[in-house]
Amino acid sequence: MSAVEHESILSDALLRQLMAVGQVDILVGLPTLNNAATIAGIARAINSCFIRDFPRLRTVMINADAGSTDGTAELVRDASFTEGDVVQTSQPLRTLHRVNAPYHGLPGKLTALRTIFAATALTQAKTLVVIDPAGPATTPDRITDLITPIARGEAEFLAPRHRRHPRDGALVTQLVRPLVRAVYRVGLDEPLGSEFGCSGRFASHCLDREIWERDAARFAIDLWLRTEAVANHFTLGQLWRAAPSAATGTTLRQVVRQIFLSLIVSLRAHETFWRSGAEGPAVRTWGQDPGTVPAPAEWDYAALGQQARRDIAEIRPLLEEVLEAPVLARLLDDSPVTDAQEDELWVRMVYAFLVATSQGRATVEQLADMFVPLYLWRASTFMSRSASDTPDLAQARLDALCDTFLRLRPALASGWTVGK
Amino acid sequence: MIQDIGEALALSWNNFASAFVQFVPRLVAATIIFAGGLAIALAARSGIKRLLAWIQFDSLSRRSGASELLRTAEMPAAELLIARIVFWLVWIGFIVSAIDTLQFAPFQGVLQEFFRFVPRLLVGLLVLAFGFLIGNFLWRASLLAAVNAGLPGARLLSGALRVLVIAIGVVMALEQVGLATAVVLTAFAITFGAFMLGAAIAFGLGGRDAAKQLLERQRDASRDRDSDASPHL
Amino acid sequence: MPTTADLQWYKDAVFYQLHVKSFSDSNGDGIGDFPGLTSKLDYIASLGIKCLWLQPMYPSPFKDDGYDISDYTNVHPSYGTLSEFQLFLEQAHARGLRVIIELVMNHTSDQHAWFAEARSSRDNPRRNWYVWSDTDDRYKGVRIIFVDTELSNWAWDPLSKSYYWHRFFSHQPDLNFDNPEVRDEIWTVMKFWLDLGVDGFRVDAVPYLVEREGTSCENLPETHLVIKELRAKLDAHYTGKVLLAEANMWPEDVRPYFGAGDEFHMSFHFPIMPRMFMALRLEDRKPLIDIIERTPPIPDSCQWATFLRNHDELTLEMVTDDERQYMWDEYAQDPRARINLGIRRRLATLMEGDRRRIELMNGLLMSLPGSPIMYYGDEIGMGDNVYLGDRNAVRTPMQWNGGVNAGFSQADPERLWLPLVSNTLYGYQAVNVESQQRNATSLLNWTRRLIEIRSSTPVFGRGAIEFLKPANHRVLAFTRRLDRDTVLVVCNLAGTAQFAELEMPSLGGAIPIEMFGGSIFPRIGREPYAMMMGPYDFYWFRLRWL
Repeated sequence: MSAVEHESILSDALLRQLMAVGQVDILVGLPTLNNAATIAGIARAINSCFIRDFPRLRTVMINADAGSTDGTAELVRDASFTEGDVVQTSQPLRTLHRVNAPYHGLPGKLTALRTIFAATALTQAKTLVVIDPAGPATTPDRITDLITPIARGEAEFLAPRHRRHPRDGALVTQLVRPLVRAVYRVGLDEPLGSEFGCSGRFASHCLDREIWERDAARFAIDLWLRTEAVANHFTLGQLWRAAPSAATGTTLRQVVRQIFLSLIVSLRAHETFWRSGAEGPAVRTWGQDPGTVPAPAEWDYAALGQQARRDIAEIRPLLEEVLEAPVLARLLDDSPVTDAQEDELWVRMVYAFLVATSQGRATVEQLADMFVPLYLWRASTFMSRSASDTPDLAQARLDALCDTFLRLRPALASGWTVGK
Repeated sequence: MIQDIGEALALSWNNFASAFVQFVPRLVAATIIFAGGLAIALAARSGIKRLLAWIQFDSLSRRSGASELLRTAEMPAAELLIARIVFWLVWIGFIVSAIDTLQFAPFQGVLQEFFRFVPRLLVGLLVLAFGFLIGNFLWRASLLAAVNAGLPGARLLSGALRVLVIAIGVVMALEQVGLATAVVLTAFAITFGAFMLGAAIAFGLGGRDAAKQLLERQRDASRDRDSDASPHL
Repeated sequence: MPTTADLQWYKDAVFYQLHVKSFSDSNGDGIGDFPGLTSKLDYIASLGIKCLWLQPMYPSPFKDDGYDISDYTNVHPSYGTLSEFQLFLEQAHARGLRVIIELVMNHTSDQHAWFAEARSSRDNPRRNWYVWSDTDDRYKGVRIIFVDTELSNWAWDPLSKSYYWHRFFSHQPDLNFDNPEVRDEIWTVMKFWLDLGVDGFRVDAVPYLVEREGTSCENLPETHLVIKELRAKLDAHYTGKVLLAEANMWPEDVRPYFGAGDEFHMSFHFPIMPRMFMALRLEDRKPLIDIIERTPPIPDSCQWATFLRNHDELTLEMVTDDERQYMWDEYAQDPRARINLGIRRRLATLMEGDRRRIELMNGLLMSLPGSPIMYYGDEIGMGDNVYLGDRNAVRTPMQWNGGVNAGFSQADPERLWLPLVSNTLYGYQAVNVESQQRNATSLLNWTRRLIEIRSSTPVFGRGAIEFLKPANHRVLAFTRRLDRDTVLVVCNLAGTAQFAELEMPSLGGAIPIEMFGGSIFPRIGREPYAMMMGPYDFYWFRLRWL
């Protein structure tokens, strides 16, 4: 392979910076895309965390920018670390490294993350923490909390979890969480999220995988990282945090579509693991449970539900190709059913769609489009049924849904066609 | 005189016998070709059925929508239909060949005509098949796009698109086969043009207010529907 | 079910050669034994070794340090009993160590019962087990191997009044492999040890099995038939065993001993060894590159065995006369160090105690193609004693600590089978395992790290080699490639700092990561890659394309 043929994800400039840094113990990665408003504060928080909590360890902060146009990368590079910092009683013991990695090759979050992983491998960092610049306020304590379990060898992948109101985040509570729990047999609360901590070993493992070449990886990567850790028996952990901002910059339909595609990416990547029925690793939790959280702001689920029903009627001929006749009939039937029946209907539809992707009855993108109105129907149904529930009662619904996903899991395993 | 009659009769008999003697081998040959052709056509039908089963043609025809269409028209399944078409094509070919062997004057050249016709027929069938495939693909894609974009009557719109594409496919197939080309093309042009003109007039003039309301409703609905995803995450 | 990789374990293993009698004595008789060796297995395993090669431990009159065998299916009482050997084997296997033993099949001791019978009368059933002649002019012109001590390949037997053939010492009559009974008996011997659990044999003196008039009596086709026959029987009854050939010849002459993968699994690559020493002294990579490029490809299932030193003299058979003289002049100025066609010195003394040179030589051994065999004691830099007879200079007792008898034995020092090395430079007080265990930067710990890094990738054992030839001939650089793994090795053969530019267009885009410390080096591009190296430095780079 000549220099002409090989396209590296690491520019020469970045490589030279990494050479100068050498081996490190902790690497904090900061993938950014137009985060000028918050980034300087985050960089200072990282720096303070290093000085205050890990003074003897070799540390580096790497800003992998995904193509910002608002000067984010320059702000990180030029951020001064004296203003408003933690008061220091002495000079830091070691040289503090700050590496700037402007995007090289394709812009985007995926390239930024891959660059961070490559830097982790080259610097042989034992601990990697990736900070979401759009997350809740970054403080030195937050960063330390993410680093410590990994640095101590108590976990190899640490996913933040936050206390949700049961009626908040239907896409997670109705689909992603119960599905991942049932299919991967792991007690992971938040399978999505851009922020995490992991060991250098896990980062090197992920770097060699094919996920980075896949088109859907740009939004599937967060889920895939978690399921990859489960499927390859890395020690898992969860850390209580404040809830992140859920602003996505895309429409609801697009988000649902992306989540569906992400699930497919993960299921295909780990089909050997989950089809074996093996138990995922136990998940330990760190941090303080914030306890109860206020109810989220209401949204017009009734209108969404009506629109969803209209859409379902329109795509009925397509749904006939995916759903079994009794399931479709029940979906189209307006007569009242019990909560358990509604849950079962939803779960059967989810599994039917996942199976359909493996059998190639339609393209994955078409199935994702078909799935959107089904999710919207489910979300609105759940919201209206639980409208007068106490939080405990609403939580009980979620638990029952998890059980239903687990109970009907064989439908996915038996229908799934391997290797498609 | 009697001798002349006898000679005439003998000559006539000789001519008849001679013609008969020349005709019989051709008749036998034609019979063999006819019977052999039947056997080959049956074998071809069976072979095509097996081949189509092996390449899972039934799922392709289901996905292309051809199965549904044939079912609606109370016709046999696509793979059976193709097998039958192959059977008849092969056997007709042999029948024509048998007739040609008999060397009946009115039927001279029929064989050549037949063999000139068959490739066009095959291409026509291919065009028709592609028309179905493309039509069904566009129907599916447009239906999903329209539903997710919140357009009313998504099913009607996408169905109309499918019909249009298939109709174009049919017309192209007929033109390829050379069956009343001018008539078919003219009829299609007139129908298509009339439909489009009528739709334009109906929508642009008669339905102006309705269209305006539709668009406003559409704008509001999409604003609601495509609102922030954050409550869901 | 063992995989092909498991069955070909010898391609990845680092071997350790030792003599039981020199390793550790448990019963205070001054001679190392199997219980003593068993007690040191943890040490051997800690080096990262995967296979032990034991020198002959059979009953023997010891006129050739055990290579004159008088009983093939027993253990010399000085080393212990057969059950003690079995226990040693079990303990070795429990630590993931395999064990291969010597199979000296070319000849026996003249004290062997077979020879006693053969010489007793011309009619004895075992008469034909050896090669007899009424005159000593058969096989004329065949070279004598031990030129320092033997005048002829024939020896007169006064009992049977005839000559018997011996390619080595006269007390080691050659077996007659034209006799099927001999071949069957050798298989019986092999089966005996294989059934006890040994993992293979190092077969001594292979080229000399068969004799034919008008030939050199070496490497004859009939010899290969004998080997094939034994190998076929081995494969039919056992899996995962190895046959290692001792055939001190040019590599193209050794090649036939691999057959088509149906003769030996491994064979020593003798000619590489003196050329490593030569290259270092000449400060020129040429001898090494020449011999490796001359080495023919071998079947996929086969492997070369490489080494720096062993129990014999550093053999200079496979070099030209000029090269031999150069080696003697450079490495054996003391004539006492010379024996036969070689030099009887250990690695450390040959390197004049220079740690850098020792490290470089070990680095070469571990990175060149083949499976490396370490000689016991070289991991701590043991010295030699050229005042001892024959090749005992390099067979002195293992130096475990600086105490009595270096921890080798509780016997009186005078009773040790060989005296310890006790000079101020290499004596056991200065060079021993215990002190080096306690020193993190000792040669011992460095060797452990070297083996650990070598074992971290199969590239070294199984990868192809390709030489880069920078203009600076003092720098030896090559790549080892296996599938998607590539390692770049760069060595400075000179005792002075050197600069070299490496042209590596086929490696463009790769990021070299130094394997000992993990440091990142600049990416390889189209321009020549600059390397600056201190005296006797070497680098192993794992190449990554990211």
